[in-house]
Amino acid sequence: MTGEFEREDAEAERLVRISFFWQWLGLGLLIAGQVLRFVLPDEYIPAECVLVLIAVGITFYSISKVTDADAAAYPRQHRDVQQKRFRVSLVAMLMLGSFGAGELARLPVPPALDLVMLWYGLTMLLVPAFCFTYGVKRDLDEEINRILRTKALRLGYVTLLLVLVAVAVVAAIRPAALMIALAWGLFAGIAVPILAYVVLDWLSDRGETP
Amino acid sequence: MERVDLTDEERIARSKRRFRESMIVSLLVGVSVVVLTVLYKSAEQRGIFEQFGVNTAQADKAFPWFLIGLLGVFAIFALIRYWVPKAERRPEFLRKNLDTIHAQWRWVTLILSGVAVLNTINFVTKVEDQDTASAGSVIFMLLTLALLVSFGPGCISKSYREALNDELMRTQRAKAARLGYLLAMLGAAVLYVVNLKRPELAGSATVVVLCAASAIPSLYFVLLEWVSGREN
Repeated sequence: MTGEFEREDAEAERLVRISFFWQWLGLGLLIAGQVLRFVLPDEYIPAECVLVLIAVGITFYSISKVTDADAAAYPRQHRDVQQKRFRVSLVAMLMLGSFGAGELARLPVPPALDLVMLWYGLTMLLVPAFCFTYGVKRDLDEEINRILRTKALRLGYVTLLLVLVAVAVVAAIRPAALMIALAWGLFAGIAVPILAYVVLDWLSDRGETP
Repeated sequence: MERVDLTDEERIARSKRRFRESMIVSLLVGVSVVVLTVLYKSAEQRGIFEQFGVNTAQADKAFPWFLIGLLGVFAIFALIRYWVPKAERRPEFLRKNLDTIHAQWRWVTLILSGVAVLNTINFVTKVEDQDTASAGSVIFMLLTLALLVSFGPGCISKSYREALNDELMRTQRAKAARLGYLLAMLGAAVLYVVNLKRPELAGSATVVVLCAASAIPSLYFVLLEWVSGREN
């Protein structure tokens, strides 16, 4: 009997490792794309877009690696994979949106992609956007997740209020710098709760998997 | 002199009586301040001060200090009259008197919200009189309100925290904070647009957004508490 359990655990672990290998590869490509965007001139933006597309493709491939049969056979590990994937997705959204904050202050028309990514990250934090099936909802919207999200949002609330106070001070002292203050304020209002959630979820140490 | 032989039931009854009394006295003081201000403005417009040889500029400077002094005297009176004895600050007693204390905090939140909204309206409508002190006082009040709603009165003392911060209260606060976050986020996005189109309005618009993000969650919290059946 013990041998059977060990074989099951080893199989589940292998599944999780494969899934995460592809996912981390996708995140790595995403980071590489952002760094290239920072380093290279604007002519290379199409190359960066190709990298982002490859990263998104890899993410979907990693999702497809875990089938419904696997999920039914290893429910604990599957839940863990979902939760970790959610954390990584939040960081990825933040990463994609982060470089836009500087440009938000510089351009009269904010870069649409970055804003969409930031808002998408926020939506995921409020209601996990991937909850389109009951199974995913069960994995991502359980009690601890909800409490952690609530804590993160409360921190975001306090952050945003302090940001608004800072904006009021900037408006009174240096109106010319108001756009920069607002752009970074908006970014901080999304980034702080997302990072807080990721850290809280990571610290809650519910990991069944490496 | 504090009587030590009171039973818990008598203390609870006294606490409720004192709360009602304090609310009525506070209301009277608030109305008095409004009436005095209206009378002062009316006397100023009719030139009554000149008839009695009073310098209007000096009266304008003295009147706010008179109001502050009046409120200070009331604050000292309230501190002495309604000071909560040590025996009534024990968590065991607070738990027995929970409904009254929740009701008190609801009223405090409600009154603070009302005052904050009135102060904000006053600040925003008087564009030519906006100064750092008035902006600071409005912002301080709004931040206090927001922190009171998101973290609760428990941050003031350990015994209050033990008695008041039950699961329902925390859930209500979390809901209010989530609404506040969404409003603040929406407000910040609106501010961005306002700053693009009408930069001269950005200062006042920020205070309005801050007011909406503080006062609306406070009122929502009071509503949630009331709906949950803690009306008392």
